[in-house]
Amino acid sequence: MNPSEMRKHLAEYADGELDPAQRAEIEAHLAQDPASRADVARWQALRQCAHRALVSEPVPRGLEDRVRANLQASRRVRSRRLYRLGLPGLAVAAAVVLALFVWPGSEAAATNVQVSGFASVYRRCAVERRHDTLNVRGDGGCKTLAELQAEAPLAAGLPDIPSHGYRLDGACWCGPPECKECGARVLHAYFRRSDDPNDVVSAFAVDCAITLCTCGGTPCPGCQRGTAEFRDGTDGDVSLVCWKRQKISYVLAGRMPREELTKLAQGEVTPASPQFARTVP
Amino acid sequence: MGSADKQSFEALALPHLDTVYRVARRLAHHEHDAEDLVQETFLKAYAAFDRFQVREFGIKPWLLKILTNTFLNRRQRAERGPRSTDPQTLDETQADEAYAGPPDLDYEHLDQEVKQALDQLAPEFRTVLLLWATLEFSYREIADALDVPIGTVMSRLHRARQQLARALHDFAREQRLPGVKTQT
Repeated sequence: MNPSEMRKHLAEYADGELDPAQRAEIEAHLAQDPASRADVARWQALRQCAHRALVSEPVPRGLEDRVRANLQASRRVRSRRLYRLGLPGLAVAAAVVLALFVWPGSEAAATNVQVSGFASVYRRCAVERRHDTLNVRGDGGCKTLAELQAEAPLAAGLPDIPSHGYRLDGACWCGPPECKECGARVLHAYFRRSDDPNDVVSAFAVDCAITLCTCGGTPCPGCQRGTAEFRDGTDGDVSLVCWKRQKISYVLAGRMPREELTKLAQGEVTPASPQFARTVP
Repeated sequence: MGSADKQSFEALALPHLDTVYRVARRLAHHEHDAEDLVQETFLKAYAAFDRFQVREFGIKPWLLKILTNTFLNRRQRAERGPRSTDPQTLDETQADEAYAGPPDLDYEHLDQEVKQALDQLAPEFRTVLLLWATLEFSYREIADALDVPIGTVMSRLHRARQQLARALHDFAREQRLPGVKTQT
């Protein structure tokens, strides 16, 4: 080994990755060269430092619960596929019942959610079109709101935004941090106008009661605007409107006047199938 | 997929959730994006669990392979075109740079600087370095996780370490820390 190769192998020696012959050669060199010994010690210290820095990264609270819930939702989809093959639709009905009455957070008091959290997801996921394939199921495939509603029970009560000239562009489970912290599940579907790709609307369904907050106060003194049924707020150029149906809260976000967004929110509910029609208002 | 398989997926995969998240966090930079990556990784892994075969190193390298592929695909999509940096080209063009040993610093107190230096690396190098540092994987395990030859792992790790060492040299110079070894 020439000196250049020798230096290159010092880090590999520090990792314990050399074969016995190379190791013996390096060790003979190290016995003669204190500078190389110091290099080896520093490579080891650097790796330990990197390890320490990275494993100390905090993991968000409730992450495992949210991953489990996602996997559970994915299973429900598979159950629904069995239903399509002619098996009883009990699995789907059970999923809807779970969505409305059993899921964690459904009985909790209203959670105060900053409008900026929804607006941030709108900008990140919807405007930047983060999810080209719909990863609600984990394997893509939903092309329409009806398909999405059939696959994800939480989407069942979303307003019929496609009837206003939008098409479903993507969906994900992203939501504001407050929802994640309280263990609520958030389904985010976003829509884009076919004739204007810059016109994007996000629709969120949250399986707990939330109130929109624009003031950032803790606790919020009650800063909501809009009507008793449809509360609204703004974050920069993004308008938001929030309303509740039974145990589910819904939020729309888009770059348009709040009044127009409220009209979209007031659109008719389009249940995907008779199963949903029985349980969704 | 049978219910026993579903349970075995959770039993096998979820113990590695924290590790997967930590790697995702450094790949994606933002907490929100990292969690999104983790969710997609586990859904994909679950959907493909029928095809998973427990190999020498268990399920963790497989999860990390899905994670890194998902991350690189997203990045490619976000750039709306081919990758800006071809890893093979990177491997070749930087092969002749002068050797930089790590500077003589107090590595007990450099966690933040190391994290920042890591964030500056090209994703292909960062991925290798993350598996090497966070998980203390051997070169063979990294090759298995990323599905690349072991020679590629060694070459990328060498370049990544060199860049890390240079970044720390720069940091030491900026801070005028004593005892910094001159690069050769």
